[in-house]
Amino acid sequence: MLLVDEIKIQANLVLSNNENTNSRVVGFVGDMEIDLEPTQVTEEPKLAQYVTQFGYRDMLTTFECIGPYFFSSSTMITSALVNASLQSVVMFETLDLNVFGLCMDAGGTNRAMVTELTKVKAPMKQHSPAPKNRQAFILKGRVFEAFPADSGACCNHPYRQGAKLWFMFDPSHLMKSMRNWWFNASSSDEALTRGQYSLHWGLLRTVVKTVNEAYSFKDLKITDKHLNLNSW
Amino acid sequence: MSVPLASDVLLSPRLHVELKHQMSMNHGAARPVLQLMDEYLTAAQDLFNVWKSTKPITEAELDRAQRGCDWFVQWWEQNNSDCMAAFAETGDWKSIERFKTPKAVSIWTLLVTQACFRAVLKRLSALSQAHDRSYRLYPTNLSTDWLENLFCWARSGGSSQPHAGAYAARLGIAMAARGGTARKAKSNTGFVGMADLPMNYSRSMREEVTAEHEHQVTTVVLKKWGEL
Repeated sequence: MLLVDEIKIQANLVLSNNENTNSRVVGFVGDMEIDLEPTQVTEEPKLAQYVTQFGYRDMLTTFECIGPYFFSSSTMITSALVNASLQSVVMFETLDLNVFGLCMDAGGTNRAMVTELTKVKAPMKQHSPAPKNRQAFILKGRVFEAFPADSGACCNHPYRQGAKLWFMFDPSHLMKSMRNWWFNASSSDEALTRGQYSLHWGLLRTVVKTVNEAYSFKDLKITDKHLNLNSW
Repeated sequence: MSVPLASDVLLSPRLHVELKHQMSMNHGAARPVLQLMDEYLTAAQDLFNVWKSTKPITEAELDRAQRGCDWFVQWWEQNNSDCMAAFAETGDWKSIERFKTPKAVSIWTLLVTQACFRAVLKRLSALSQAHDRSYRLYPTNLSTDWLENLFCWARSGGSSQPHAGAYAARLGIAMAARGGTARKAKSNTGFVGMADLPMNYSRSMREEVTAEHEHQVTTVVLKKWGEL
């Protein structure tokens, strides 16, 4: 499984004292061998602000190794991310490290990449009959029919013919978004409602307070930090 | 400083037990809301106890995760029944803006991930049969946790955000230390720079990869996408 994530770095120029590359100034986009944002000759060079890092994690053993990384001057655009991902997949495959799929967080660019790579099935045609009940679940232009089927998010493998390249989102990040749904539910028009009842974050506060008052031991392990979320 | 994790709330068995207890005590107006909270927590636990399990999982456990997925899908459909009715009538999802809202997209990410888990399990079953041995799926291997730990390593030191040169240097140290203890320049192995390590994506390797597989990547892949 190939892992993808992004980290922000300081936009500074520094002198690299690596013996193998001699001393040179690094910090521009394109310093790390691959120029994903090719600059015109007339353009000013851009400072690197983000790093998109790839890593390889074996599914059966504890083997893992650090993959290539790419500098970009802003959050990587979709086409650049697709380019970087495919090059990384091919690189690992040439080293006999089979890549079954890509695991990433559910950021906007990552989602756009999955949509871009998997939009192989055309959306339902205008003249096709309307689906009965909920045989089809359509999101972002893809038709998921009775979704347990393995017809989900995959594309043809860039290296091995006949194989598929699958996509998944990191469960920890998905869990965070589930929690944030609930946290933001009261102010949203898409609140967690059923009929006249609405699930809101205040209910959790009430339950936690009731439990803490009822028992002398505090083993619920839900603190004020859990209840009062901030931007961090 | 401990970080308040979403799992502390969503996957807390103690909270769930207390909720059941309060539901049994409360038969008033608050009971339906408590029941909704109970269902929400149950669905989230069905999903993430499987997806974040440290033990190998089976098809039956993925079915449990599927139940969690289905709850979120059905909840969205119930809350957006007008959308689903309009979609059933016209078959045109593009005209329905609510299919593109963040929550709808989040549900889509759940479905994508569940499909990937199933695909991995299917692949491992096929491998097990072919090699006559048991390959098991450990969900912890399917996460970016390791990469996040690597970033913690890169951020450690003088500043919270490394600059470009420091990032490369710290990554080199992390690679040499294999995620464990850092090796200093005075150790027996000496400092291992990026260029000495086999996984460095150096220019020479890039040229080799590009020259050998450019045709495969550009023609095979791009055309095959169109055929699907």
